[in-house]
Amino acid sequence: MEIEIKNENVSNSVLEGDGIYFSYDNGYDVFENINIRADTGKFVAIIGPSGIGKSTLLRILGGFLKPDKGIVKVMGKILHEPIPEVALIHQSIVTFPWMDAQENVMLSMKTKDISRDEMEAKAKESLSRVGLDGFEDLYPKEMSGGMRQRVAIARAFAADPYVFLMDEPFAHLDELTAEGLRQDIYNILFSGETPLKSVIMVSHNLTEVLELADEIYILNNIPATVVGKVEVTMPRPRNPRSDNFNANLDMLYSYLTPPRKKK
Amino acid sequence: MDVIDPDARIADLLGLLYVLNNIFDGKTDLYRLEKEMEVDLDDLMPIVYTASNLGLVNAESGDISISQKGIEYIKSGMNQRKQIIRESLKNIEPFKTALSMGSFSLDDIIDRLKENDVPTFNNPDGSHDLEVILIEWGIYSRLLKKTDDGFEVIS
Repeated sequence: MEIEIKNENVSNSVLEGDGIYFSYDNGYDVFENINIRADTGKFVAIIGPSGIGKSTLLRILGGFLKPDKGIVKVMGKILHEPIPEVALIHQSIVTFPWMDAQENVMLSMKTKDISRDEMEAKAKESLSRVGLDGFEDLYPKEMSGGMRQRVAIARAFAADPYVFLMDEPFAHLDELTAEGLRQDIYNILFSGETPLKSVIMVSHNLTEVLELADEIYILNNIPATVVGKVEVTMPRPRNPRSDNFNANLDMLYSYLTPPRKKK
Repeated sequence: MDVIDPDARIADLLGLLYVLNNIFDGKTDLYRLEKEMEVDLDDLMPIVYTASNLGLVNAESGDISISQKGIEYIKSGMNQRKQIIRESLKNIEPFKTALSMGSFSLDDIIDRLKENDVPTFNNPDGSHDLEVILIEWGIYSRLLKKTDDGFEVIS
């Protein structure tokens, strides 16, 4: 693990991006002074107009890209590269077709110094956690899109991460499947039976964001900055047809209009 | 700086204006429009931003309303619609820059847009996005024509 030991983490913060600046190689300024924080027990969402760099920000927060300025901290320690404690779940459903569900999940434990029996037990436990008990032997081609995404989530769980970074995790699922997974996901993530402490999700589906998130960061402008942070206090489960839900949707859209401008 | 959003499709413009005018009597909340059109943020906002920059709608504080120009657009025939788009494009990028150049290659206009501090196309997909916009909006509206090595403004 390549993380620099600093002072012990005295706050609730699980993952923090502090003063993030990032530009493409050709000089296009993508982010300017982005500050984002995910605390223990919080489901954090990041939204913004198409092309603003939401997925890029997630990659920076996961240590897959280095910011030009600013730092990312995980549990108070500076992140220099990807670590198992931060798991990235992609928008495209990544399962390997020549491996069954259990082998797909065991992939995330290959670098750990544990026996195959332990890996199999852990994989079964992770699959059970996401509702795939009894489906360990199925290959991806035998599964629905929703099941494959559950396998991807189980694989992330098996690495015992502190934080999930989810990049449009329901984007490639049909609406019925996505709705079913959304209904389960919050309870699965925060069951308290794993080391997982926090989730950061990027999404362009505001209804999905409001169903799941405790806190929402809104990106806008060029270069992108955080133009607002909304705390969602609606009780769960949340009803997308309620007046309160619509009032929250209205508020999110108010941050996204007028059109983004160059600062 | 007003610009055509790279993800805005001209076919979506008419749909947006029709729904806004015919279902919502010209004004509504963006979240209601999203639900009615069964789209999400990435589908809705590029065309909303572009329609706003073209002066066809007003989008502010989560609300959207059709402008007088927008109403004129949906009540017009094909040629008149093209003229409305053509005139509107002249004030927004990348067409403002294109007009100042007369004829140009894709590389030339990318360089000029950089000089003019227009960042929208200064990214890995920028060249492709720009070409699509010039063809889809510029040639459709008869503001531009294609030449062997680029584009030319139709006088």
